[in-house]
Amino acid sequence: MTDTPPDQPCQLAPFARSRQIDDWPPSPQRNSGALATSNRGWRIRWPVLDLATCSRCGLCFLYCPDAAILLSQEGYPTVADDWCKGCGLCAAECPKDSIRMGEDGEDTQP
Amino acid sequence: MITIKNLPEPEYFVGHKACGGCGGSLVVRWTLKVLGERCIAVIPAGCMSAVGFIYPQMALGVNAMIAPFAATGAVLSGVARGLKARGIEDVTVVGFAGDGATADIGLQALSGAFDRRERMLYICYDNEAYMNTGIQKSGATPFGARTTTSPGGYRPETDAPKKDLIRIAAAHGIPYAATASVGYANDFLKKVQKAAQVEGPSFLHVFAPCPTGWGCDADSTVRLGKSVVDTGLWPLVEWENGAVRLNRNPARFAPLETYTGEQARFRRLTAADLADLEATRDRQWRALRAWVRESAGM
Amino acid sequence: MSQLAFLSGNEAVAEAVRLCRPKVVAAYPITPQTVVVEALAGMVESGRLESEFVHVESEHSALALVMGAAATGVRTFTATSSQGLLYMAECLYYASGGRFPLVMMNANRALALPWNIYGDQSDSLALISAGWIQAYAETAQESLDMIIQAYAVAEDPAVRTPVLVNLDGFVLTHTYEAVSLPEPSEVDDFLPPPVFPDDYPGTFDLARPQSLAITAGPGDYAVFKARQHWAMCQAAKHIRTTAHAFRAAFGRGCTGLVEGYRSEDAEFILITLGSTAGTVRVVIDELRASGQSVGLIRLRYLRPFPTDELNDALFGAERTVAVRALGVLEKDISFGHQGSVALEVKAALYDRGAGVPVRNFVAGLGGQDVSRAHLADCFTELAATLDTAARVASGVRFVGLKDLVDDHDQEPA
Repeated sequence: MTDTPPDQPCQLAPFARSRQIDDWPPSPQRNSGALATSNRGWRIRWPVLDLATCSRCGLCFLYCPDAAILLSQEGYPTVADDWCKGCGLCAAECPKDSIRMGEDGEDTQP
Repeated sequence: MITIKNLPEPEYFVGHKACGGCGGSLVVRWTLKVLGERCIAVIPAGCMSAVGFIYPQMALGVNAMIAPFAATGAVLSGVARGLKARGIEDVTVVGFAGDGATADIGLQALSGAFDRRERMLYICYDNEAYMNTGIQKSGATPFGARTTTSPGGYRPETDAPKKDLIRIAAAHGIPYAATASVGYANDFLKKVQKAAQVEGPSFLHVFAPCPTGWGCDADSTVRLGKSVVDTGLWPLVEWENGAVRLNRNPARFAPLETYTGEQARFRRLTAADLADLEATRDRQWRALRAWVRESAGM
Repeated sequence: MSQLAFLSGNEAVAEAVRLCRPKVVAAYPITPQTVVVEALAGMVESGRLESEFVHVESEHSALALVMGAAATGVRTFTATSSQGLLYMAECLYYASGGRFPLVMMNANRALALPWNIYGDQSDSLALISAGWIQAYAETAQESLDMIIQAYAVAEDPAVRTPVLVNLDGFVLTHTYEAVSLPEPSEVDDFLPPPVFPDDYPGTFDLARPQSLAITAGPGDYAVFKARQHWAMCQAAKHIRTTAHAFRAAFGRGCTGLVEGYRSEDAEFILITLGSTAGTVRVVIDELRASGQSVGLIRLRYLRPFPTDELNDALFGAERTVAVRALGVLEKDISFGHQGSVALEVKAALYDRGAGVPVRNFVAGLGGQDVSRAHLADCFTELAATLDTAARVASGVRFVGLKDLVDDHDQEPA
């Protein structure tokens, strides 16, 4: 009931603090899923995917603590730039070794 | 039945500020995927609240509130009763509390809520110390683990294992209680679904590795979640209306080092310590199997 | 129409709560609050009150539980006292910071150690900065009326600040008087419904999920706290308008945060709170009969503190005689300084530049009797405060201590 919700929950949306105190939330609250800051700066490495060997098992999607692996309609993973922290769980759990942890900024699907 | 093959697509825990590889955040993410949008989450002071609600970043996609540290069970009760008074019956009330908030400071409120048969699902994500405040020893810290308040490795006066939360929950006679681990996702997902469906309180005690606090690689969370079960240090148990079941009952356990060896917190464990740990584990399993037989009336 | 009932203060509170129809009631027993909880349990059991009555395992849980319930958008009630109030102290700040519109009754009782179950105001005054509106009732009737008004004030969207209604332990909680009991329909007309509107702030929303009781870092935190403070300051206005509306609907009750008794033409005034005011009135009548210029000002609310009202009552245009000295009479001591209420009063007067001497009388600690003779002594001693040196030297006066010890008026060397 407070500020305008983002178009989609859990999607990064611009946020500017109001200079008018009456425009602040009426209690310490905000719309759930309203996201203002990316976690992009947390990582020094991130997943590089080899889709040719990917078996589309979805374990990378399952085990990502940050919901930073998205699956396409066909079941292939992509990396959510804003949320990947570079922990490497996806790579460690991939049964086909289709994921390696490369440098942050490297093409995730070479 | 939701399994790892058909995990619902919507995400309800995104953009949080938990450390890389955090087991606790996996517990929250998976649970909310199972429960869906019509749920209200109560999270006490601790890692998951500290990383999930920093204005203006609201990482939970469902209705949620932070509870006072000691009061998860009480706030859950209040939410459940408020919904009941309003005649709202299709909303799941779920709590996510750490081991300190469950086994230590919040045990009294949890006991009260169990005793009153509140309609709630209480999930303890156990990372075996007070991680949010900087890795201090909790009532769930295991033998030998280094924390910042047990710098030489935790050495209890007796050989008593860490607080046995599943037995404490079961002793209240609640309809459903179980242990789970992030290493066994299907088992966890099945238990969340069972726990959400029972009338009255349900309790899940979930093994949730903390790479930051344990001194292990950020990508070891799931691996440790498996090896802790395979070594027999974290039995997968289900208590359902008085009957106890072992979800895994191996004849032989994996060597303890496959679990402890990856973690800096266990670096000071000697061979003798490991032998003690093994003896304690075996004693626990004998007690556990006896409990199973007893509950089955054998 | 309303009817007269013979009720104790506790019972009057329970009847008031029944009339306000809270959807969730949770409380933990502590003397001398127990009667309220017992009465409400009976009402729920008999069906006179339709509510979720929750047997909690501690006061901390009681307040945490009603917070959770309020977050679902329903009216709630809890009650406590003394050690219980302090045990839930963390949750008091939490509830006010979260802007949950709770109403709680507190039976004012002494704090251990030594253990003592009898009345004094140390408990609620220890939590005066907890962000709760603090009301102090004088009679059972006022207790009932304050509870009803408390819901109207707390739930006002502009206020959304919890209210603590204080009754002196035993002296008020357990003393019977004839109380006018409104009809349920009259209270229904006076209060908003006990289920809040869907868009009420600080509640969950199934259509647009909300995160409540969140974290705010340096900077943001200060903005939330400033808003909380200003809402509490605004509450004074709402307390007055609510009291006027109550008076219009029910034909009784004070409309201010302070109440004077024969004070406009009094040179010597005792300022006090709670049930002690009743005895002070009697003593004033007696002393007036012998020609003394004495009066009473009763603080009905300590938060928000009625600075303007108090100064107006003491120095405003309505006065016919100038005040020469003030005494603050309270059942509380802030160890190493003075009574908390005296400190509040002095701060309020100082800001206006009032140079009137103020004497602090600490009385009734742990249920010690506050007799007419004690109060007459207070008025006598007020005259002595005109001598500044004597005032400074004597510090806090423990009223009634001389009944027990001879050298009551001296700090040990």
